[in-house]
Amino acid sequence: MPLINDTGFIADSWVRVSEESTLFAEQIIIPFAQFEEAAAANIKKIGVHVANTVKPTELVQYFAKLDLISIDFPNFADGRGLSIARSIRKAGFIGELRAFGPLIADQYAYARSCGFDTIEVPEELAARQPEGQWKDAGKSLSLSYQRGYMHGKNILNQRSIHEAASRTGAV
Amino acid sequence: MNALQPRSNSAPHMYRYDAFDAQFVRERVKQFRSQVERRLDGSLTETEFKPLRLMNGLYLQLHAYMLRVAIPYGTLSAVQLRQLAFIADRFDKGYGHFTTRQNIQYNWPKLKDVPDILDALADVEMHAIQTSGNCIRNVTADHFAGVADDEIEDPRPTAELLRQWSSAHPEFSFLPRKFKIAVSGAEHDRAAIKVHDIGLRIVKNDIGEIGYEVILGGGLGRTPMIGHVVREFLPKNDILPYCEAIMRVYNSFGRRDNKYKARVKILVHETGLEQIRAMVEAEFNSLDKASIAHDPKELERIAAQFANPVYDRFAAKFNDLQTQMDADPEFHLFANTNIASHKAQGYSIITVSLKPIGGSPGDASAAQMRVLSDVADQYSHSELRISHEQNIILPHVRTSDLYSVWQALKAAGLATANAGLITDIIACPGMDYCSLATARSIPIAQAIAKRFESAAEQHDIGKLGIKISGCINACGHHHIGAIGILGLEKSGIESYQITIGGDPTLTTAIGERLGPGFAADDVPDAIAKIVDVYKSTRTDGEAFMETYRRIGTSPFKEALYAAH
Ligand code: SF4
Repeated sequence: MPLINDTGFIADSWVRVSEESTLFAEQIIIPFAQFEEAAAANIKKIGVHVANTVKPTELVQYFAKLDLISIDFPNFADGRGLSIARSIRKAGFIGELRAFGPLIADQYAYARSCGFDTIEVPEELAARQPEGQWKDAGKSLSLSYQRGYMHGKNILNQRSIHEAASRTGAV
Repeated sequence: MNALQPRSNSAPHMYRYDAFDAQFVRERVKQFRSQVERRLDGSLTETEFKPLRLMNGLYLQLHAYMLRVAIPYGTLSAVQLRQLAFIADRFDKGYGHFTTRQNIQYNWPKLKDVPDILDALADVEMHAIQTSGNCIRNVTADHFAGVADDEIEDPRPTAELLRQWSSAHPEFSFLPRKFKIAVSGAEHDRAAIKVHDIGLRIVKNDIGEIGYEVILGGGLGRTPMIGHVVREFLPKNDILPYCEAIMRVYNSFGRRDNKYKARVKILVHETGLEQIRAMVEAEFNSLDKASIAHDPKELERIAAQFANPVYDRFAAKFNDLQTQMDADPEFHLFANTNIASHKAQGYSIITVSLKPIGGSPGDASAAQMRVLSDVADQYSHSELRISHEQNIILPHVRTSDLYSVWQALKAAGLATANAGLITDIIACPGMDYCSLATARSIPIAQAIAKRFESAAEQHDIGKLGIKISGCINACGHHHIGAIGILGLEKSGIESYQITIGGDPTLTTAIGERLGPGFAADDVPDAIAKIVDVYKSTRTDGEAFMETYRRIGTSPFKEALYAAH
């Protein structure tokens, strides 16, 4: 399925392996339940796909062995995956974080802010919302009010910097 | 331009956008403009577009779109109100409707005009962001904030901090359901904090520090619930991390399988308060608070802008009010009900009732909005407030000016002397506008007001709040009306259930249902019977709610349902 990051639509070097198929590629995304099996199979890079009901704390022990975590979005209005991403980042995961499901371009900046690197969307959706819309959406909100999130210029921090500068006479 | 310099435009005693706020709102308008275009060219399906338009305040109603504009914590400048009047004239049918959540609704905008309306709002530092949708809604506060004589601290700086923090929140814009926050800083609760998803009460602890009591899980709607104290004392600087913790717990665990069980009140109820508290505290403790919390200077920066005007010391010398009241009985009635005491000597707070007998509760015409703007400019330091009772407040009026203000209001049909009385009825739009309605509410309010038209009778009855909702969603807050009326539909016929004893203040209570519903035409009679029971049993000076608490529901039930 089409994959999106800050540069636009990109090629996907990962292969999704469903529960029935055998493990073969170099970089595979498997259901979380099959992680142990894959780990034993000596595969180069392993990613897991998790439901949006997963407890982020359950994943922490696997962080070092995982290059990618894919979080399921059953529909775009279900924001649970955003909280999971945020918690996973907070807990120190530095691999690729991928949103999987029908997120819309208008949510791109939010997904990035919560810690996602890539979004994998259905073909039908990518056809309606081509690359340009995702790029525009990424830039649509250049300022944010929430500290501790990752996207856009933070207004509160900007104000603090400005305030400190004006106190020391720099402005 | 210095980015932190407040921009001119509004009253000097309220928060004004700096360059960041202004840019943020403009970008949001631009984004919505392109979303409308992308809906029209098919890039967005209707399902995808819906939450985007809702988060910009745009509803699809019975006859047309409805745009809901935020009046954060109810504070409004004369310049802003004039712009609301302009929008009503230019893009709507010349009036607006003030709601129970400190918003104004326009009932007839065209989709293609909405981005222009949003730009017109941005011109005066206003917006419609998050007045709808499954996100954190417009933050509300005590409408007497900053001027009430029972205040510990002005709740608006906190509300403004939260308004900013909740705006376009990347993590909490696709919640299980809507989320409402209210803040109160006074001893009396005028913001109904116990029936909000989060209610914040500014309190002082044993060692004199100011912080927040955090109340979680209140709400009206289908399943009315009173919120629980989840944290007795939260240090001020922890407010954003603590809210983030609550929201993350709710976003992760709130039910998404059933729209009617998706509010946080149900999560609290089903999980149990102790368990929820443990979950919130665990999440809170896991956070790197320093990276989330606001700089205390930021709250100071905001608070400084809400500093009260410099009041005239000599205003206190005025002592002719009683003489003026004695000389003019009509003014006397007005002064009795629509004037509240101000914390500064020689000043008063005026409530302008938007409930004229026979009118639509909460409606104001563009002309009336302009009169109010002018009056505010001349007499109230260019500032106004919108109350959750759907009235407009003039917060800084010299007591010596009351009579002149009253005359100006009277000339514009705005001097209805009924604030807090039986005809000061709160009503949702109901069947006349709302696509969810099961019954009418405005005509019911009008019929009751007509029934109790006589000023003498209203004043004799005294304080008595009636609240009407046109369906179970309870936008008219009927559960917390001393008398609540809920319009339902029974096999094609409207039926009105009456509850009694609801209370929106700190002694919050959900009203009790008296019995089977009434037909629309019979509602005024039923209300009259309830009032008669009160009048015949009250002791000297006893208000309706006090009598009710003393005698309970039985006498009222009997009056309504006993066979004759
Ligand atoms: S209570 Fe029902 S009828 Fe009234 S405004 Fe709300 S949803 Fe509409």
